[in-house]
Amino acid sequence: MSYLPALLVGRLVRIAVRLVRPGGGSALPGLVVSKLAPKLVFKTLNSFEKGLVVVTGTAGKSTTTKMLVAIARAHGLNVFTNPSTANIEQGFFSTIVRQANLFGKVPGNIAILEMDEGHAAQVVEKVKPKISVILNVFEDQLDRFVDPALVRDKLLDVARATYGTLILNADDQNCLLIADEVKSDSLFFGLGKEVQASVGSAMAYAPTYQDRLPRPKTVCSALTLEDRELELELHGEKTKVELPSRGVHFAVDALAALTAAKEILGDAFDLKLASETLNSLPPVFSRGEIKEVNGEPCEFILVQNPVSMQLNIDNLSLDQEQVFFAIGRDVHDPSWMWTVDFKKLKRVHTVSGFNYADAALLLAYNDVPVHCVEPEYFQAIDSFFALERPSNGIKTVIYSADAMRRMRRYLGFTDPEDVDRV
Amino acid sequence: MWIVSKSIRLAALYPNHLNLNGDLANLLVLQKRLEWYGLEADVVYVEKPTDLTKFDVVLLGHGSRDAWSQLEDIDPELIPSVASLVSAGKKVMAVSSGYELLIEAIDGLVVKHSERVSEFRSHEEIVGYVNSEAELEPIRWTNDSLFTLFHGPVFAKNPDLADTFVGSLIAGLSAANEHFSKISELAEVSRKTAFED
Repeated sequence: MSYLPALLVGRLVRIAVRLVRPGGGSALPGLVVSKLAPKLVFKTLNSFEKGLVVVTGTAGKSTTTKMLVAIARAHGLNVFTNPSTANIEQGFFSTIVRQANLFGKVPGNIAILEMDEGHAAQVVEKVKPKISVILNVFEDQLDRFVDPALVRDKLLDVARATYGTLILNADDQNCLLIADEVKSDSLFFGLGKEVQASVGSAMAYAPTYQDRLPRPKTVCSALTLEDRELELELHGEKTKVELPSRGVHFAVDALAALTAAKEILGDAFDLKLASETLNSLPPVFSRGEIKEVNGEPCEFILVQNPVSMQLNIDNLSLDQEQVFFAIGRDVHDPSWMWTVDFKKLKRVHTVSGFNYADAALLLAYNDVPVHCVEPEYFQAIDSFFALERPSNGIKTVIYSADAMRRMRRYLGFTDPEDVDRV
Repeated sequence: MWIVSKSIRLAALYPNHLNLNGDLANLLVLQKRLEWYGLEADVVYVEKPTDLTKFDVVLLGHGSRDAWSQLEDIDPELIPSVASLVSAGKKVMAVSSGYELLIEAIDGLVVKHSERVSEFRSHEEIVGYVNSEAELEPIRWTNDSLFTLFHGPVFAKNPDLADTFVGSLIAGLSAANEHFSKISELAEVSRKTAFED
C-alpha cells in the first residue's frame, strides 16, 4: 500500500500547526497519520538493515540515546532517531512524517530510538528490537504507572521481545530481576565499587523488597568519577571521558551508551573516537544550568520526580538567599513531592506556578520559610528578577517541566525544552 | 505532684515500605497542626511492632506490590494487629492498599477490583487523589479510624479532615495560631486546583 496520501496529509497538518504555533505541536501530524496509515510506523521501523535499538527505563533515556546516536554517527552509521519529546508511538509517527520520503522510506541503516517505559512494551509487540538498553526503574510517575513493579513487568516484555542482545544496569535490582526472568545473553554496565561507595544512595532505584540478586559481571564499569571526569573500562580497555554535565546519572548513561555502541559496531568500534564524541557533546539542558537574566547570573534547576528533586535540594548551597520555587501543570498529582526531605532548603523567596498552593503547603508543613506566594506566574517571575542581587549565592530557580517551559518562553530563551537529536 | 510531660506519639508503620505516594506526609501534617494547637507531638518510625497500643495515632500507608509481598513474610501479624487497634477504638489511618488489606481482615471479605481510577476525586467535600482498582468508598470511618483511598498528603489538602481525625486530642484547644488561616486558604486553593485543567 502506498503511504503517499497519508504522508502528504501529515505534512500539511504539520505546516498548518507550525503556522498557528511556531515551535510547537509535534503530536498532531503524527496523530493524523496514525489514523490514516496505522501500520506505517511499524513497517518503517522494521525496514532498517541493522535493525532497531531501543533505549528505555525510567530515567536517562534522552541522554543515553543522545550519546549513543552521536557515537554511532561518529563511526559513520546513518542513524534514524526520535527527538526526546516524541518517545511514544504517536511521536514515532510524527518523526516519520517529518523525515520520510513520500513512499514512507526514512533515511538510515539503523534505528536508535528512545522509548517511553510505558509504551515500549506495546511497540515491541509489532517491531522486535535487535538490541534493547534497559536503564533502570525508579518510583516515578506513579499516577501513570501505579506501582514500580508494573513498570518492571513492561520492561520485561521489552526484554523478551528483543532477539539480539539485552543491555542492563548491574546496579539496579529491577534490571537483575528482568535478566533473571529472560535468561538470555545479557550484557551489564555499572558503577565500580569505588564510585558506588562515593555516591551512596544517590541512585535510589525502586526497591524490590526481595533478596538481593548477586551482582553480575559487567563489561563496562566506572573506575573513578570526579566532577565531570569519568574514568571507565569497556571490555578491558580503559578511557577517560568528560561528561556533558555533573552528576552520577550522566556517568551511568555514558556507560550504557558505550556498551550499546560497542555491541552495535563490533570490531569497527573505536573507544578513542567514542570518548572524543562524548567529550564534545553540549551540556545537557537545564539541570543545574546557569544563565544570565538582566545581566545577573541565575541557576535553573529542573525537578521532575522525587529522585531529581531530592538530589537537587541536597546539592543546594546552604545559604541561598533567593530561591524561586514553581510547580506547574505537569505535576498532575503532587503527592510525590511529599516524599522528599527538605531539610537542606533553608528558605524560599517566591512560590508560584499552577500548583503553587500545593507547593506552599508542602513548604509550610516542612518548616521552610517562604517570603511570598504569588499565584500569577509571570508576575512572580517579574518580581523575582527585579529583586536586588542576593548577598549570598546567586538567584536560584527550582521548577517543574511545565513551569520551566513557560518561564523560558517568557524570558525569551530560545529552544524552550527540546533536546533535539534529529 | 508530678507533672509528666507527655508528647503525642504518631506511629508510621514500615515507612520504608509504605510511603510510595507520600502518605507519611499525613503524620507530618498532624505533628505540625498539633504543635500549632500548643501540643507536642513526635513521629515515630515503627517496624516489627510488639505493642501498638502505646501510640496515639497509627498510620498504615500504601505500598507497592513488592513491598507488601516482603511484609507478608517478615511480619505476618501486621494486619491482624492493626485490625485489633481499629476494633479497640484507636486512631488508625489506613491508605489505599493499607485500607484494602485492613478492611478485608476486619470485614472478612475480599475487596472487588474493577477498572483503575487515577484522578482527583471528591467525597463529601474532601478532595484527594485516587490511584486504585479497589471498589471501596473513598472515605470510611470505623470507630475512630479513618480509611481512605485518597493517597499522599490528604490532610494537607483537607485540614478539617485532619482535625476531625485527631478530634479528642485537640478538644477545647484554640485554633488562634496564625498558621491556621493561611494554611486553610492554601488548602482551599489546592482542592480547587485539583479539578482545573
